[in-house]
Amino acid sequence: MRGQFDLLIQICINGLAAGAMYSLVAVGYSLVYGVLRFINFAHAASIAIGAYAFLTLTTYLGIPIVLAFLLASSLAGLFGWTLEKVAYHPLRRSSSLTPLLSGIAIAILIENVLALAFGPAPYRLSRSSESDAIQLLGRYSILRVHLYMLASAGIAAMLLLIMLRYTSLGRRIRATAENLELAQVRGIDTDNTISLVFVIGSFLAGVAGILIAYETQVTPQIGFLPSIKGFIAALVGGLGNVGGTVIAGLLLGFFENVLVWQLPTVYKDSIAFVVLIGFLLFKPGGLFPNKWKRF
Amino acid sequence: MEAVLNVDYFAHILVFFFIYSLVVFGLSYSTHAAGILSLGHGAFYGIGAYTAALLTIHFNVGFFTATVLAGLAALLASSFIGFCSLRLKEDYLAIATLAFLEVTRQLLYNWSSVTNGAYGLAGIPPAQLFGFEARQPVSFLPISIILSLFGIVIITRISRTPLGFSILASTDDPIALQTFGKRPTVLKLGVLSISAFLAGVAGSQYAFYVNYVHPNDFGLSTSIMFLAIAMIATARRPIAGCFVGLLLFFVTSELLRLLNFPAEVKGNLIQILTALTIFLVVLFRERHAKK
Repeated sequence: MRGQFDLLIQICINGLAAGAMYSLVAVGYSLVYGVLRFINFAHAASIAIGAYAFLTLTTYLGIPIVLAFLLASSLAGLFGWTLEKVAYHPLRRSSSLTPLLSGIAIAILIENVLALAFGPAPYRLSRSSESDAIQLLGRYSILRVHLYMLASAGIAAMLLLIMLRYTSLGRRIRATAENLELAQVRGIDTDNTISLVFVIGSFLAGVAGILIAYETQVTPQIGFLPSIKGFIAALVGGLGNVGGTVIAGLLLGFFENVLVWQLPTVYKDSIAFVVLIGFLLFKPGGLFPNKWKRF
Repeated sequence: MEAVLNVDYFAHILVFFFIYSLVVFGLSYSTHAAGILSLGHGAFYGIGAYTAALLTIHFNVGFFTATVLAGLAALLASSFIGFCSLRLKEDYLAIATLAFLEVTRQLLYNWSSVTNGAYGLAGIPPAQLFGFEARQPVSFLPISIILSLFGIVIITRISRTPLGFSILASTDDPIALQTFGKRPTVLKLGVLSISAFLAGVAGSQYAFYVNYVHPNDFGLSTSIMFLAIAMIATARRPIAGCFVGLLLFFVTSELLRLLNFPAEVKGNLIQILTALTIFLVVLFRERHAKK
């Protein structure tokens, strides 16, 4: 009995770490949706770019890990900026279908360019101390990379909420999300604000990409599943609600891992799909009340 | 001998041309006229292929029945996804079909007792119609041409009736349509179902023609390929542009084959080209619309 309970606690820890990754990815969807009301289908590319940039910087160029981490996620952020300028800005005034099409085209493009540049074979990051387990309370253990996942999601969520509420950039983002034309009338550079929203979202996706790369392998498709689950988390949290999105990501990871404990492993990715269908049918606004939806 | 090989080679390409055309007609209509983005057509095509394969292997069902049932299976799957997501906003359909695509692929991989998992399903008998067996590319070609014509008839019939104009209005001005007492969501759902039905029929042909199905043939790259081919068509002329797209696709992919790239590199190059096609067509349309 004791053994079962210990296992459950262990599964919860792993589930929350996976959920932290979904949160980091989901925040990008939520911010973009909050401001522009569409789904950024190229978000998976930011994850892959973060992972491959980190791989190149550490394995081939031998740059210290902390510096490489910052550089790689900044590169993902830069990709977000470029993405907005190239694929979304020219389509700002068109129907809702066109940004989806150009987003998915960019995602496929990046995936295959990476596959051509690095080859289709998966890479492993050189394992140093990141795969070590740390003992908790003597009985439970947590992988160091899982600890980083939880910490980075926590720090990112905290900084983001503070930024949105108390800084001038945050006020600009909130104003643009509330009413784009009115924000322009008040002299807010909305184009610049929207670009920054993409930079923030892609930066966080890049961070997620690096951490996911530590846990699995680096392949051109590394961003695919996390981006779908990230979107589902963003939907469950209520698109445009950053705090809710972070909580929903943690919950999704948690439930996936707890349910898979009792179900065959192959159904793991189907759980998120069932969650998506359930929320689309019964609670499309997300888990949390509407008045929380403003950033 | 050389001439026989050449005939078979062209017939083989033409069979795929017409099988793909059926998927692309439906996809073009749902994308351009109804304004909904489905990333799940690879899965609908796969559901059709697996349904037809399983029905013939286990129940010895004939080509015609299996194909109709394959279309219906794809139709059911798409209506389920469409019903869940289209009520809200078109964006949700795109992400729901994307998630559905991945779940379908995993199911085909892992439900080994039925689908034979990663080994794929082999031993699908060739199509038999009116007592004659379509084992060769040349003998399968008439079947695929007739079914492609069937697709053209369905899509053009719909697009030229009042229903077709309502469908156009459901993207151009849904509120105006609602004031006439019509429901844009129901129309969009209907178009999605028809489009998926055609994809299922095409999948069944694929199973009967290749005699082997594998989960990897029905992933995101398949969906994107169909989408790229369908991009050149327009809302008011959903068929003509598809032929241009199909022609461009097959010429490019055969040219790439002649250049002797390794298989993975060729796959990547094709996907890069399809992605660029989608992106450039979208940008070009936008430029054009502004003038």
